Amino acid sequence: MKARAIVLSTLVAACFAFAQLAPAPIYAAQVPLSAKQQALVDAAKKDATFDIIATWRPAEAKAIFGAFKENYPFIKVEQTMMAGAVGFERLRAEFASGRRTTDLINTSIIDLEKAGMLQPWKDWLEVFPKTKKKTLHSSLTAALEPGGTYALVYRSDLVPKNLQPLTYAKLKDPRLRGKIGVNIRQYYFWDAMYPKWNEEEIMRYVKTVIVPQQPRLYNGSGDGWEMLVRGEVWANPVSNTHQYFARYAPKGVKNIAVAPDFAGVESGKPVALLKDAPHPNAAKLFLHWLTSDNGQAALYEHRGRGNPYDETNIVGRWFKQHGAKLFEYADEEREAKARESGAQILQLLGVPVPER
Amino acid sequence: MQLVEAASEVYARKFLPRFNLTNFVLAGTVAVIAYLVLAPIFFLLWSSFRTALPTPANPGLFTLRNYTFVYSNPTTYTLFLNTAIFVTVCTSIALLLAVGFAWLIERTDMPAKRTLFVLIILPSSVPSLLMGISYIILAGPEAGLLNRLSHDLFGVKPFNIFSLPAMFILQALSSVPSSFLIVLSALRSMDPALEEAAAVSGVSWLTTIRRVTLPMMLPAILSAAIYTGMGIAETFEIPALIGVPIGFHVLSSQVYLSLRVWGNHTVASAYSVIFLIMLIGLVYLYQRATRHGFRYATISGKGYRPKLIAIGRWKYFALSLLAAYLFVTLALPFFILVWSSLFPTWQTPSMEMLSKVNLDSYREVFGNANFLDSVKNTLILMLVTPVLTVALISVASWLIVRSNLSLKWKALLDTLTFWPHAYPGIVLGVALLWFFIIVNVPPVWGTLWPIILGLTISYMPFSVRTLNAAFIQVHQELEQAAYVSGASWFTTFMRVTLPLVLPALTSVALWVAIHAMRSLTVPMFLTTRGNEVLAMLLWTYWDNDMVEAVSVIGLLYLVICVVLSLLWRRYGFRDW
Repeated sequence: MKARAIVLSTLVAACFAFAQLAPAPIYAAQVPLSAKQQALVDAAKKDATFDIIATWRPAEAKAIFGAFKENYPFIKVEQTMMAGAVGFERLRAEFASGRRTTDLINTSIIDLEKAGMLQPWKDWLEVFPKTKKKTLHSSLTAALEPGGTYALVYRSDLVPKNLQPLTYAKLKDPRLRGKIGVNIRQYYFWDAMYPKWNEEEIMRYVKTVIVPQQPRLYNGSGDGWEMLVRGEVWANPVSNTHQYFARYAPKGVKNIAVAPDFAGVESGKPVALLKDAPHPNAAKLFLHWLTSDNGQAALYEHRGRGNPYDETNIVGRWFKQHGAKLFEYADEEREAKARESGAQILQLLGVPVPER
Repeated sequence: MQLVEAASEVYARKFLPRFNLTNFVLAGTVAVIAYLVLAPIFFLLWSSFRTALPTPANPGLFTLRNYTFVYSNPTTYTLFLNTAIFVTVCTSIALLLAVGFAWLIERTDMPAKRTLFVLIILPSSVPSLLMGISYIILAGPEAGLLNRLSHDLFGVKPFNIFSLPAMFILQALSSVPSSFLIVLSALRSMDPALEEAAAVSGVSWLTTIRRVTLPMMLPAILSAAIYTGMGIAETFEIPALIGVPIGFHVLSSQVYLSLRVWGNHTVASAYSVIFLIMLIGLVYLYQRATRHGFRYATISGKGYRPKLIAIGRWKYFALSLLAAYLFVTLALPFFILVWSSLFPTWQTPSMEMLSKVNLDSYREVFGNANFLDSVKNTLILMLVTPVLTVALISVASWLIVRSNLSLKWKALLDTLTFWPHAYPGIVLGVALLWFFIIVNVPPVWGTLWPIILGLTISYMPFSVRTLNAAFIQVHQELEQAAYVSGASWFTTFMRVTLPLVLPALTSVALWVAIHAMRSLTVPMFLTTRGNEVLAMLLWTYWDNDMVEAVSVIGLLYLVICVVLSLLWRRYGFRDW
């Protein structure tokens, strides 16, 4: 008995000793840091955490934050899983109440900018001069998640063979009545899904093809994908196409094809820094990491969002193959117009839209 | 006799309007209730006249634009019409079933009535959210499991959850248990002599129902109809899950869309005010319908049990109907949640798929820190909300039933505690959002307290009514004896009065705990980082298309709700 106790205590002591011998964790990147960078890292250590609103699912978030923490293990990341519109509403409540918890949000930033809720990181390029401009929002308020893709996707096992490959024009086939999905939340992205048409043509198309087909309305692109996977809808003009392919492919979901004729790619979806964020330095380190090769690779690998000009990823190949049109995210005018026509489209579909 | 008079004198002296600890506690409780009930609604009203929720660039101004927009918008009138149709049709279906079930249980010779009673009210533990989600998977027109089975067997796909009839039926089925309880208690307190007279005169039981039972029950059915109608008008989950995709919008789903999807807080407030006025009208009607008799129904005794109607072979039909109701409301949702939780993405049930069953979804959900935080928060909610509710309403109820306040003040307090019955959960959520953002007194925004306070307000009407009935049934002699013996009001209240109504308090506490766990509409707009509860997580996961995670949490939820409901039935609701 005594001997067993001695052996056990020796083992425990040995383990403890080995733990002490383990190499110290490497904080921050391997390259030597400039004085400004070091100051930011030190301030971020004090913040110790940041909070982001994003729709990243737990598995995606775990992988992305895990990759980030390989470089910055001293920062704890908290995510509130929420779509952009809902997140905006949450942020307005936070700003109005003065009780702030969120530092970053992954959404379109036009409304946030108008509401004065963003904080430009003015010396971003001074702190990190090598930041790639393509991954940075021109206002210096946000890092850009690589572009989302927009397309018509369909179930190749359910859509009649003689309609395949399915095109937008073929959606008017009576066999597809009630089997087309339409997202009421992203109502202002029709021009990205139909990039070769102008506003008038889009409206005419929606009136003459989509509305008479009595589409299935859903709330958020995820709902639409879920219905497509279950076979509840057969065709879906949808955003974030490759993001969902990346999500569903590992789960063995097959038989979902992309229509070949039109496609659109957004230049990037902002991850924006909020005004008076409670943990600005930790949040800035994350923003910068997102713009790095590591960050962009993690976003591609776990979110299916790749650089459309880089043909080594599926988005880039797809972009070239389908001659997809690239939309610059910062194009406020386009987005404002798209929202206006999107509201009209919603009304055509019988959805009451309150004024904004 | 002298002792009784002396006791009454002491009793009266205890409540003279003077400043002491007792009066301070009593007045303080009333003030807290008044503040909780009225302040958020004031801010809801105020917000409906603002241009925007304050932000750094836009502090907001006074405007009539929200109302101009709402009333000049033709879709608003469609919303009124849709809400009226939704409430009327669902209430009618729910009442039809509830009256039928209540009659079978109370007046006929059905076998195993106690078990049937429990089974009929058990579906009330299935949250509407889960019911809606389950049926989207079960009865989707193209890929729904029921349609696939039917297609394989008969070559047709007859079910379509995305249709008005399906939406109405689903909502009605969710509302059956509450209607059933109201109708059952009315039926029980009704004198069966007339029915028996009809039977003795040789009238068939079907004619007796038509000519005697139903006309006698009409007032009770009317009050049950208004109560059920209010519940249906407030409901948000099924209109949001099924109504929105088919373009059938009602007021509750419109408040949600205005705020959450279009991000317009002030228009949402304007819609909420309209919704509130509509519900206040229904509460007024309900109070008128139940003003007489209902309050004392619990103490009306019966000298004998009524002669039970022998329904012969019809009992098999009745049993089949009940079995179908249970199959639809409990078994099918349970099965579909179990099945979909066993795969990382939806798979149609088949023998082949059985070999591919795995627990990956469980591992993912249980390993998620958000889930564990939500469980912790939900447990806190389920503990604190009943305690706070019971603490407030026991004093309020004592004041209404026991104190020597004037009738006018009692009526005022009674109305005050019943008032939140007119607050739809979603409207209360919006009102509290504004209240805590603008006033934040007490300064608890961002914690669990706004949700706890919201739920406390929400459950006050039911709790006060239950406790009032309990207080009425307990005589004052024991309290008077305590006062005569020199006990203070507080000591008497804590050591004599409350123990006497303990079963009713337990019942209220359990009921509040179950409903606090299920509530989605109140936490919907009050959730911030760190105060997420399970119901909200469930909604978030559904909103983010994580069906497998929804199934895992839903299943856990369902099991806990059913167990708690059975506990409530065992230790709280002892009517049977």
